[in-house]
Amino acid sequence: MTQLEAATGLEAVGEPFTRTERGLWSDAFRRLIRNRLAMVALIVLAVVGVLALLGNYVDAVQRYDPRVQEFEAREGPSWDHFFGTDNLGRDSWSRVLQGTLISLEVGLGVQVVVVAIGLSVGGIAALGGRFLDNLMMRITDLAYAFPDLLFIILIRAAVSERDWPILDKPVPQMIVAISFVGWVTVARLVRGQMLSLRERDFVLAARASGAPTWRVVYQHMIPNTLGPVIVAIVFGIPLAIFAEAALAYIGLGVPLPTASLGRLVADGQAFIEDDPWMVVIPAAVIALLMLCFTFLGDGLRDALDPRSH
Amino acid sequence: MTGYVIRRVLWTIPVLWAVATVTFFLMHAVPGGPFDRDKPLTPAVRANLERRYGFDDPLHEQYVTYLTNLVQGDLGISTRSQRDVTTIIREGLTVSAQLGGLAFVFATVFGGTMGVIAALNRNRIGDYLGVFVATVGSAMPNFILATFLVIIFSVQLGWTDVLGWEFGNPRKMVLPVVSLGMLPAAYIARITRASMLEVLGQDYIRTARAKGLAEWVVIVRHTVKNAMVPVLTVLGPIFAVLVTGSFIIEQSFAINGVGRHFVSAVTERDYGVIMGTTLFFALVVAIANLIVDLLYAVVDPRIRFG
Repeated sequence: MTQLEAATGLEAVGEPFTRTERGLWSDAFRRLIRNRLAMVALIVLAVVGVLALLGNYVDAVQRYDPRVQEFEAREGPSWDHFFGTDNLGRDSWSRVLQGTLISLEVGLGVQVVVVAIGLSVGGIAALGGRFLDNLMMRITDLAYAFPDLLFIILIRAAVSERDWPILDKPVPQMIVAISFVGWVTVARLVRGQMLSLRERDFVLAARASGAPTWRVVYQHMIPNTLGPVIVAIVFGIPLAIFAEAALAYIGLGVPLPTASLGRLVADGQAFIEDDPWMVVIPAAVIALLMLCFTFLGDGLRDALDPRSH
Repeated sequence: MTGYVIRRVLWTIPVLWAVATVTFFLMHAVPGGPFDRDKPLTPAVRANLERRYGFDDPLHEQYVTYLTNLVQGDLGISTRSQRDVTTIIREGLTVSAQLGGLAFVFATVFGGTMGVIAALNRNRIGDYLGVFVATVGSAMPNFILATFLVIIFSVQLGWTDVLGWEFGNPRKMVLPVVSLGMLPAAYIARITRASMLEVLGQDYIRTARAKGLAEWVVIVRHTVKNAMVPVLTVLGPIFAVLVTGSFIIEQSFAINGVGRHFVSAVTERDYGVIMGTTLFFALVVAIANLIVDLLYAVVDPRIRFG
């Protein structure tokens, strides 16, 4: 209490004010819960995610095989076909669910690779001394100068039709292509954060009290870098989803007959005048996913760094 | 300052070299080649074609040849259409530059205005509206926005055309420009708003008001002018967004720009066109970043160049 008194110049009256001690994470969590928009986004994402998972592996939810062409072509939405049928007589509900799962897999998968590369490059730059810092940052500058979608397209084309382990499937191929371009932001963020942390008093104090370097890094620097990195990851998800959808849209995505949301939009565009729902539904799903991840990112940023607001 | 400018200009050379090198080897790593047709060519024809384009040389020799030609301004010819890559780019460039330029103007004017209005109406309806448009705009993929706009304005209202580009014809221009410019506009709006709010809280704004300046003078001369500095820094990345956006929007509206050439070149393994368009885009982005860095130095003299 004396500290508070000293800070405010007020004398404590009555019962001493007590506040249960909370750490950074639980504090941030409470702020996030109170953010209505972020919570709505999280719930929507959870529902869509569960639907997409069940819709690919449970017949009762999937209802029809997304590859089977046995229905009347271009039927409107009905109780039999929630999202109608496409121009080849396939059920659109099952196809949209298949595309949604691919979007989510790519969106999340890219972040795993991006964080791995970004943390390593940024960390090496910040902690590895002057030479490594210069080297890593020049590489990052170069990577930043590359027109991103262009290289995603090229890498995607270069890893396609390979029989390498893991990379023989289209989704990991997309993940690799997108993340090889996307790590730059995280690397710069990690480096900047670590460099500024290195000068902070609590790191100095830890050093002065004789903590070994690895301890300073693991106990103080990495946990304090995680906040901004988490925010960057969540904001990176909609970008990756967009890249995947855009690639599929221009015909360079996962190969047919697998349905990707971007592909569904492109396919539906030929019939936009007569049957706009064919385009509207997959387009709305992409927009919904991206909006929800953006709102969640906004909420997380405000929760982890209240000063930024 | 002069030293900084020279170093900054020279930096584009390694950037372009790195782009050329990575693209060259990536492109040759793509399975299949330019002469893979549905109907396979006879080995003799194929060998002749490969000799003609120099594809029978070892890869590293082709690389050296390409760089040598590149330095002399020769981008080679397209294996698909037998035409000079330079000509192909120049043709596509007119349309792409019109589309990209107008989208850039739209993004800065619309985004900037939206940001200023939002900041001046903080926590009122104008602010909420601006923030809403900016949030939705930044989370909405350009081709999805294009689709929705086409459904509303072309299919339902009949005001615009579904496809194509024709300079001077608004029926064919408004939708591509708005679809391409909306994402950068939203980005600029967010940054302008934040920057305006920060400047409005500064002491010199209070001083300006206290000495009795008209409100519009305070806003225009003291606030907007200072608030534009952070906005300038993102104009470089904005150019990059427009460049990548153009691949997709040109595809959506069937516009024959440079972006569309790149996409079809990748599917057809048209090596010359892939290299040419990639280098062209890298050059555009590099020049945009260069201009922004130099402008930034002019606008904010406090920046020191080490």
